[in-house]
Amino acid sequence: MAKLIKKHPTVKSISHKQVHSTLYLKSKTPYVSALKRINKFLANVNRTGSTYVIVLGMGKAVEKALSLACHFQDQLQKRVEILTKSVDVMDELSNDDDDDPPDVDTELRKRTISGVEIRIYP
Amino acid sequence: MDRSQGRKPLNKNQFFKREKVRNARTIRAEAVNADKRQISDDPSSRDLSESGGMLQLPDFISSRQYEMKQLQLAMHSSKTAGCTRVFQALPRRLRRRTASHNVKRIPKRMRSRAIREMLKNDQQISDKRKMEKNKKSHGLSASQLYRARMSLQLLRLVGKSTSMKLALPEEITAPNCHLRTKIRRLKKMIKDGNKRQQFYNNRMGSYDNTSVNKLAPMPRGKVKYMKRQKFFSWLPTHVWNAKRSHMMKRWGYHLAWSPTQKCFRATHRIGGDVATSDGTLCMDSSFYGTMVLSGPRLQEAVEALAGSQSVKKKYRSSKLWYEGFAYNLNDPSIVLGPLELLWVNEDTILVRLHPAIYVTVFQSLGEKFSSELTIQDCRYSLSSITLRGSNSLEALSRILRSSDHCRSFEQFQTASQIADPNVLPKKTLFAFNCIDPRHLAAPKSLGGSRTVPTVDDIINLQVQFPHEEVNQIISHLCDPQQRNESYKNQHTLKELAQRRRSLLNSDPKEGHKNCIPFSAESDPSFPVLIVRRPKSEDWLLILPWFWLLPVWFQLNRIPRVYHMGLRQMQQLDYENSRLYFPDDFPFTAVGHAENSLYNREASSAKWNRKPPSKRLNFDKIPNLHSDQLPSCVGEIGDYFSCDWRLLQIWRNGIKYLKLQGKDLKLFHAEKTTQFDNNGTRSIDVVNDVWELYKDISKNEETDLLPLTLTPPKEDTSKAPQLLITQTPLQVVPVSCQYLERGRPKDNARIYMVPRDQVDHWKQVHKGIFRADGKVEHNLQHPLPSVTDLIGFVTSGTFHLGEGRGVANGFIDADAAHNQPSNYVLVRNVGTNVYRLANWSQINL
Repeated sequence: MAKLIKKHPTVKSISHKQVHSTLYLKSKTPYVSALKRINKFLANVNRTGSTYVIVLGMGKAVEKALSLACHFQDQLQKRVEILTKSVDVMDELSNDDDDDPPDVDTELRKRTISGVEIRIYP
Repeated sequence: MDRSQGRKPLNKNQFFKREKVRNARTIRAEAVNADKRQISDDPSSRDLSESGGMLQLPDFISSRQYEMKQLQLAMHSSKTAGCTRVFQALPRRLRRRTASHNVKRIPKRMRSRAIREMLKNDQQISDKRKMEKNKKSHGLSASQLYRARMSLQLLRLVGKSTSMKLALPEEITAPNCHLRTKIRRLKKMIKDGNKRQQFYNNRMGSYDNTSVNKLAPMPRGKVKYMKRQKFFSWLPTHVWNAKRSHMMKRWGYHLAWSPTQKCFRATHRIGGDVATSDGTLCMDSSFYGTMVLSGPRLQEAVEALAGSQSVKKKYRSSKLWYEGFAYNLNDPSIVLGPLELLWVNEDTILVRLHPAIYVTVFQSLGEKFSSELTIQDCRYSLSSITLRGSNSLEALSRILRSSDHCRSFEQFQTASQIADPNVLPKKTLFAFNCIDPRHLAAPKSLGGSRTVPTVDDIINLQVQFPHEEVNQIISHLCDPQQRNESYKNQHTLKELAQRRRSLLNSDPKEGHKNCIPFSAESDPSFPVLIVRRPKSEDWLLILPWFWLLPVWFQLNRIPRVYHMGLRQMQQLDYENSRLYFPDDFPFTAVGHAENSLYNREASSAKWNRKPPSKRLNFDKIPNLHSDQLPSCVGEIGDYFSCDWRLLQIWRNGIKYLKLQGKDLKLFHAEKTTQFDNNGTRSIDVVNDVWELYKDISKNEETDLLPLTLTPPKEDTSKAPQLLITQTPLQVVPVSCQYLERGRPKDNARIYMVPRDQVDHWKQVHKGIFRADGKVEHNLQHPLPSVTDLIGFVTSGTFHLGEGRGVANGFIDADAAHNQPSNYVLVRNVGTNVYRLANWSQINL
């Protein structure tokens, strides 16, 4: 019986340019903070060399991402694109069979969950 | 008399500067049309139509536009108006004052302007031809000249002092020893000395400085700088860091304390372990001593030194980096400080220790396991760089190139593209043979497959870990011969430049490439170990001592790589709720001395320098506690440090009084302290405990540490007074997060919330609102009693990540277990404002 030790985040490889135009949402991210941040990114979008702002959310944060998308689409009349995704994450597991639990190497296992990518154009 | 007579007339330069600033600060406004003015005196009326009443919109907008533009222009120009030199317009990071007379130090695109500015100020422009002429005039290089002068002085000294003359051998007397013979002798000596060149296997003067079973001598450096390193040796990057950081002398090294540029916010943003950190912080951490242990009784020694956890199978066999505490070999209850450990193979380990405890551990290991253990002192033969920030691996991948095809290097290549290191498995370690980083003309990101790494790649890091390869490289790194071998044919910069030039001449197309091709026969390669420390959550690069500098120079050429010092390490540890050695280790001897001697001396000296009227009078602070002890006025405990001795006696005394069944009476109204027949103070009321503390603090100098992390041994045979003063207090490291306003400072006092006040503070946490709906901050809070003191803050300030004050400190373990709520009150030294905070234990 494998025991879950840690849930790892997604694999991110983010370039210097993307840092200022990509926003990862957590389920804990306050809605208004995300809103302000996206607005800030949108204001500087030309300076960072990208054409749109990317908002990424997975699992529990999908709902928040979509409601943000609705806000920008309906309230602020921006062009918004929504892409659904499958995101790979990792679980760190340990084997419970061993006698000494803290003395075991852990095993990593892949899991796929659904996510959403939102592109907001200025 | 003319009134301006007293004022000094401005000189040309001052006048120029003043005019310039004045011009920059004036904001131009649009000229008012004269015709319209005649119609009406009111200038605003020209925005109205001639008939009046109608706003002329285009005119109005254009003139406002003009004014706004002028305002912005003036703001921009007044920002740079004070600057007289072109490099002052550079970003702060790139400005250099040193050698600003040398035009070549200024970026090329600004040189012509710089020359113009220098000509204007009659400043001398250093000319290469002129400088060469100067050099020839004495025919010696700077170091030769220094040496010649030194020997001249020595000769003079010998001539003057009779005692020195007596010390000379008999045949060397004034008549039979002429100056020329002396010079000849000196020359011969130098010639003989040159034979020691064979000692080195390269022209850089690099050698492996390891001693086995004894402490290594300080590295041979330039003779010119030997005097300055008599007691505190320099790290390889000293000269580089001394130009850019505030340095300090501690633990036998000159260390970079903090960059001269302000960087509190930058450190928080870059040093954080998030994908958006977008940069790297690096520090030369070579002062951390490394030793390599091997021998038949290794496991026993490791268990005694680092505790039973460190010999577990997962550390011994699978190359997991261990971080824990070093214990006293004879008494496992005494913690010496932090320790890091890596099992190279079953009978060799690599240990990293802080320099404050290194020598103690080294010597006690040598004493206890003298015959069974081989101890290599690698303090001056293995160096390291600590890197933080999400781009650390990416930065390293731009300068490190493997000398041969290697699995571990491929893994490194993959992992370097990951921006968020939290995704990496617990054991992330790369080891490979690396070519001289100076082969690269400029740091360049690795080519090859630029596909984004996937989850499978991460899993492969763990599943396909190349054990044998890594084993071999790490054992090379731990072997003195192999380290020495890595310096073989280490090139000087000149040689490398020559090679680069000849490449370019022979084949302009190929020679233009970034990298000088590596040939395995003639070019050196050195083993490197890159490891992610699981607890500190940073990267560590370990490499042979004399390879550090080439790596360091290249590393700091990469954009968005910043250097940091110890202060930044402390800040990042604080932000991630980790303990920083030695400041947050008051339960060790080194940490206790740091707090009660070093930091205390520094801040008390600062306070004493001020005149009495300008400094805080700690003795007269009103409304500190709800009750007052007759013998304790003003601030409680020492003003300039965390008074752990007080806390120990205080908590032990109160516990003793409670055990006696006494109801914590503060003092007897009618009598002072009573002494029993032996002349010791009898402990009946709280005031007696305070008197006991005063007795002890008068003659401090006890070896006993006041704090411990483990439950102390109960010894009921002692007299109560001794029991109170000699039993160390068990404490818990905590992180206190402020729930309202306020900024904690170091040495702040931590109080528990009295049981009867919990409801009030709960209410405060929820928020007590004014009639207009805003939070009421000017409340009169009930004060805790003087007996509620349970701890001190070791590091506290405003936490940029949390956006509120956070204080790390230690509280009494008993009080922590018996708390009715998670609340504590924190009060800064010298103030009477209590702030509500939530505490949580820090995991060690």
